[in-house]
Amino acid sequence: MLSSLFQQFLNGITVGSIYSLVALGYTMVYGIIKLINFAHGDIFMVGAFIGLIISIKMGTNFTLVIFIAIVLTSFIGVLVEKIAYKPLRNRNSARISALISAIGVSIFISNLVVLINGPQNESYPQLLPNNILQILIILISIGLMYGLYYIVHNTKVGIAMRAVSFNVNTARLMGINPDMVISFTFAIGSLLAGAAGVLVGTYYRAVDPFMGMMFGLKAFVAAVLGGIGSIPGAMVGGLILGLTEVLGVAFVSSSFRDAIAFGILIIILIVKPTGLFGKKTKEKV
Amino acid sequence: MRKLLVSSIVATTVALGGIAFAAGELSLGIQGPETGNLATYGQKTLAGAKLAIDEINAAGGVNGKTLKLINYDSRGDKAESANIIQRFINKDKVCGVIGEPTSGATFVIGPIANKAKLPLISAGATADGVVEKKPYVFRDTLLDADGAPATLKFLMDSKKWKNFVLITSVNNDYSVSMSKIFTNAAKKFGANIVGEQKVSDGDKDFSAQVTSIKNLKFDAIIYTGYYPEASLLLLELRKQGINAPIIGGDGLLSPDLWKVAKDAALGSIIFAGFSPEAKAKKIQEFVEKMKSRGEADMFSAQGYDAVYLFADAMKKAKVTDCADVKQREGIQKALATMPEFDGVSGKMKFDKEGNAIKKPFIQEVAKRANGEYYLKLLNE
Repeated sequence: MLSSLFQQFLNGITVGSIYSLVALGYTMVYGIIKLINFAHGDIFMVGAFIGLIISIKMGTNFTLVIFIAIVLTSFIGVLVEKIAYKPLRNRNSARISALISAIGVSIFISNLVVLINGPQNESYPQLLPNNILQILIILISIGLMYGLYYIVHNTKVGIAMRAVSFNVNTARLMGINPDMVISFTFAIGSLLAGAAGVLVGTYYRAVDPFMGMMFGLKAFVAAVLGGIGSIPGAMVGGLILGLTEVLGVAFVSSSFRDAIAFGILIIILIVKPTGLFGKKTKEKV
Repeated sequence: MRKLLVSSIVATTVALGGIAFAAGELSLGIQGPETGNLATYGQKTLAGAKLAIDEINAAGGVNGKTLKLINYDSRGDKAESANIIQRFINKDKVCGVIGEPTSGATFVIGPIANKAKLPLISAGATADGVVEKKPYVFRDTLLDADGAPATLKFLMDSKKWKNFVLITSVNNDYSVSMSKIFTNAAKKFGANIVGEQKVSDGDKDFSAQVTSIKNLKFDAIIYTGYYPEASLLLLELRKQGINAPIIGGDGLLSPDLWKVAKDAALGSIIFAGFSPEAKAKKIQEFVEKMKSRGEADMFSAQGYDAVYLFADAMKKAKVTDCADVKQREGIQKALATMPEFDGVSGKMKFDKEGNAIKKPFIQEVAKRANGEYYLKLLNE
């Protein structure tokens, strides 16, 4: 009984740490340009598919697979930003236009993959040994998150990111190029999503073109739970969401899986709209 | 002027139709989705039926007349299905209709055909209530209510399995109703359901459910849902070290099961209404002939059998003109009282409601020496 409880916790933390990786992308982009990037879930899916292609064409070396996948997804993330969001931002359009654009990109990407490969589940090769799979996934996620934390707090570009998120115009006056910083943010966020995609494929051993939809939404819930815009918030939010989901399925019922995730979203929005780690901001008039 | 033109065209068509009858043809109608997202069902049923028609005509037809198959595409649209059955009744005046491979559309056309006293055999509908209280509506499909208990009994006897875990997909009607059938069958035959778990269609993560059954002692897992979740469930089971096979119905019957789950799918038991592996001569001939017509499967086998059921009934009723309602009554009577019919989808007999009583083909996922997966037939 105890060992099975421990196993359930491990299941929850594994899913949770992947949620965290994806949630970080949402939260960083929101922190910088106040945009909910709904295409983020599909970048995650593309990352999983790139990993699949690499492992078929170039062999099942996990390090190589995840490396190529994150490099390519960060390029795709920047490309999406340049094509779908930057023109809108430059024209000072309403924030809702960028949001609609994001939804459009999301639908476009998932259907593009359907067009190329069909809508079915695809088998994923075994990239990591089964017995330590969950531990490895958790360690890799933690490693990536630590890397991000280091970049944001200890490098020049990290300082620039934080400056832009405080105030774009002031940052510009200080000699920071906000476009560069925004592109960098998209690159980093998409990189984490790409890594998460490969990890999910390795964990469940199957991927499909619409996996980004639900997973992305859940990660978004995790980001809101932790306080959107807050990096530690996204990490903690993902873990809490993963754990409650798995324990809910194990001890209540599987039909509550999505109800738990979105129930949390509703409760957070009612009780503490800024999330666990969110800062209260006063609108200045 | 235009009205006159139209009516003269109609008159000509009707006259031509009359000539066709005089030339010594008996026609059967077939309807189903030939396009749209259910297209495979309709196309397969049609391909099987066409093969049967060609064979019967090559052997001299029915009662000295050639058999003609008229097919219309219902596109999976229920309104279109209703239009087509009206056309069969009023314009084509067919002897019988093979149709609608889906339960939903058969619910629509069944009462219409019954009222017009037009015999109808659905080659695919499985839902409760499709044929009940409609003497002219039959189906030649294997029902889960027959297939699931027979499969459980067979496995208990042949594999000596006794303890099972039952996993249901709670947002899938097919799964929920089949789980009920399995639970009742287990009670009847003395099998133990030692644990129950619930999943949902669309789930990707089964780690919690699998961990929950990990410490139970059981021989196999009954999974009553569809193949996409089954393949992920199998992967999760093997990952957590559970090697028990899963048992399920034709919801698992797709190559995607082993394309995704690979070796984890080996040993899975699937019952269905047809198996191309069956050694019976009749079935092997059917599989061989279907090769040039798009491979044999359950739907083509049921379409093929439906035509032969009609042909047998028409011979027995000595039908010569199907516009005559008396002769159609004869077909209905012949179908309802038919002794055991030996079809390519198995031996069958109609019960008093018009359901085919059939035995399932119980199959196991296995691997050939060249690494190719296939379904090995267990009960022959």
